[in-house]
Amino acid sequence: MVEKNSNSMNSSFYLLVVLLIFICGFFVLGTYFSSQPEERADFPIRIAVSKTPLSTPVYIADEKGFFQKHCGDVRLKEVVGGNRSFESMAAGNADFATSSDSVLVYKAFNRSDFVALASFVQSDNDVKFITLEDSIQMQGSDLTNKKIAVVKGSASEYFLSTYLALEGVSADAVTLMDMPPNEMPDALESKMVDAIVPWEPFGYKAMQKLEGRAKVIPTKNLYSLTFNLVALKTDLETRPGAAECVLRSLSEAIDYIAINPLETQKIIASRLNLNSDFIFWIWPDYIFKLSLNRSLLMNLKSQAQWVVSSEKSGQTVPDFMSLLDPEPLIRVKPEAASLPSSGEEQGSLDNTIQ
Amino acid sequence: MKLQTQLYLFPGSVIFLTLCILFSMYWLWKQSNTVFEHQNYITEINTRVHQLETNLYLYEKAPSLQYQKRWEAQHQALTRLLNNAPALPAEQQTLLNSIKGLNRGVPILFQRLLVLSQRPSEAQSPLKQHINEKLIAQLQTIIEDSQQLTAMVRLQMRDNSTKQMIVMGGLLLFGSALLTLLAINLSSRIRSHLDTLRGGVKELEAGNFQHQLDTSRSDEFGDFIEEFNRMKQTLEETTISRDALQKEIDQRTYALKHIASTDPLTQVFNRRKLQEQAELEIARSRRHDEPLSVLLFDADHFKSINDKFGHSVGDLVLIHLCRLSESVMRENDLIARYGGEEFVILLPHTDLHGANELAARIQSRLKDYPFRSEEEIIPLTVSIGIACLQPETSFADLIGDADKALYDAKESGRNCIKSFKPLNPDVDSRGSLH
Repeated sequence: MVEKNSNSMNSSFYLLVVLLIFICGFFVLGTYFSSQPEERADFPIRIAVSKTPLSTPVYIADEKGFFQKHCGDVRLKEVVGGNRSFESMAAGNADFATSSDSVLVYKAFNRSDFVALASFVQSDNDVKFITLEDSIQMQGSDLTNKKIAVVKGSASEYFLSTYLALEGVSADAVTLMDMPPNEMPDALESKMVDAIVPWEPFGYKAMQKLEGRAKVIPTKNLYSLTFNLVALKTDLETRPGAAECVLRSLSEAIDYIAINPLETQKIIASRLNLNSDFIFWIWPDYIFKLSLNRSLLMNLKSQAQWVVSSEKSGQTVPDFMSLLDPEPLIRVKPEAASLPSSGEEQGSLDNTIQ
Repeated sequence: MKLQTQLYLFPGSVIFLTLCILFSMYWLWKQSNTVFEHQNYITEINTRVHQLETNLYLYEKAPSLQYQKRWEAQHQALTRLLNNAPALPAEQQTLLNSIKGLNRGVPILFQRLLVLSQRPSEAQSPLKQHINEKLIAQLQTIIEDSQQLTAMVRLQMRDNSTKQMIVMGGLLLFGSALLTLLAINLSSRIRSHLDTLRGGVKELEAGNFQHQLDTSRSDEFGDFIEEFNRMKQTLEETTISRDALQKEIDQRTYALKHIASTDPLTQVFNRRKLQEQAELEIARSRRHDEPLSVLLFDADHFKSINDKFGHSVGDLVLIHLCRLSESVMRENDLIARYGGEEFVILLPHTDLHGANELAARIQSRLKDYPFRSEEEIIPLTVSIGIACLQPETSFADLIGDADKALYDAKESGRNCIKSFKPLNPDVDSRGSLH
């Protein structure tokens, strides 16, 4: 009996050794494959988010709990337009803003206390040029002396300037009326203006409101805008880790969007109270991607150069390299950040802009 | 678990492990193939976009229909390639979506560029330059995205290799551990069984049939143990029977020997036994130079007793005579029936004097214990002749001497004791030659 027990104990011992080896092995593997522990912010993060489908990654990150997972407490402050989003951040009412590259270009002429951390979406058909159906053809010289509603200092204004140049019309030949995009449909309907230049969804809303009495002039790819995550430099210094966790959340949201486009569209339609047909209509124009690279830099400089040339104000093109901070993005997704070095950037700029 | 099951488990585990390894190798090979396909696809995108970029540069340098058509054809090829994309992981799909979206805008920009190029006034205008930069920027973005895709695919390949190594390593480690454990367990069980069996055989060897081996095992060896125990039991039963038989044989042999050497009436030794024993005593006497005497006696007037009281009484008389004689004899003395009513008592280590003393005791005992039949007391006397072994004589000579002494006793009036006197004066009463 004693001998039988001894044999059982030996087998149990060996089994225990084998199991211990495997447990240690899986532990090592788990440690090897596990990602680095994330720094979760121990304070609420406020994001001033522009109420547009361009902000889809922000809304998805919020809806799917990615902000909760990576950052903890994140609160969205909805505003209309990237300009207002920037203003909210600059006033200290938000830690991050979502603004278009055009907003950054216009702001850069007056201040340099902010940085763009990453672009998270791009669209080449988000800003629309809308006129009344019964108006005279709004092309070429027909635009002279016309009143056009724009959002000054934003993609709306830049888009219009590009369009006017394409049509061979001087910016002085038209009257620009500065108004928020949500007021533009009424202004067009009341014929207070001859044309409006809103970004979506206000272009769609204008078409819905005017029900066949308005038309969209085809301008796809005339102007590609990017939507960017922006922060004040001082905020980044005082709250380390916040930018990284927000970028991590946006990255996961963008991956989710790529795999679940239909569900994403439903979520956005619900969050923004928009028609799902509209979302489906504009969706092909959107490119969701986290990046901070040369093309953004070239885009900013190109626009700035255009502003300098067209306004003839004597201003110089701002140093956009100092307004781009790739470090947080490098920690989250190193392959998405590919800004050139200062010397390389200058040479490239000379080759392309001059 | 049955031993057979465990033995089957051994090759079964090997087969299972082999299948797992083969399956994991196949799965990883498929994954690697997929990754290679992705890599080739992305490389193709890269190549085509670079071609577009190069052609755009050539067109800018020297606008011509040829370059225009070539650029448009190249873009269409790129579009077809993008529309036939393989299924990619989420991260890579994001980048591919970006490339597709950017690609949709590229021909629009190119068309705008063509329109502006056809206007002489716009040949060097800032607008044309802007559109050109935008187109280049768009192509650059596509290139950056495809480069990022390439980096991701490389990372995926590295992860696949690592995964392969870990899966294979894990499987082999697990398999080795499992097989080692099985082998250890199997050898341990077999060793244990052999030890048990060895113990059982040793017990058998020692003749211990009582100890039963443990039958609590549920495997084949348990069945074998039960059969072994049954065999032990059978052996035990067989051995008991054999021992009993041997005992029976011994008893019967003893009985037969006893019958062969015993007078059936008086239960004293018979003549044959007397002869055997006498020769042994004679040899001993001569070896150790010790005296040996015999008493030859018979019942006086025995024939008359037989005639008067019958043979049955006569037999009883003889029996009485033997019992009385035995009561006065020593342990080493031997009494045998020599003839009808003649008896011999062989007296080792006894000289003439000692023999006379014994004879006297017999007579005295007879006097004290007469024979009593159912009806009356029958007086009984004996005549005794005594002789000592002479040098270089045999038992027959010794009996002959005792017989002469008996004759002498009979002639002397019966109920007396006479000793044989050897003719050689050099022989003493011990029968020894001086």
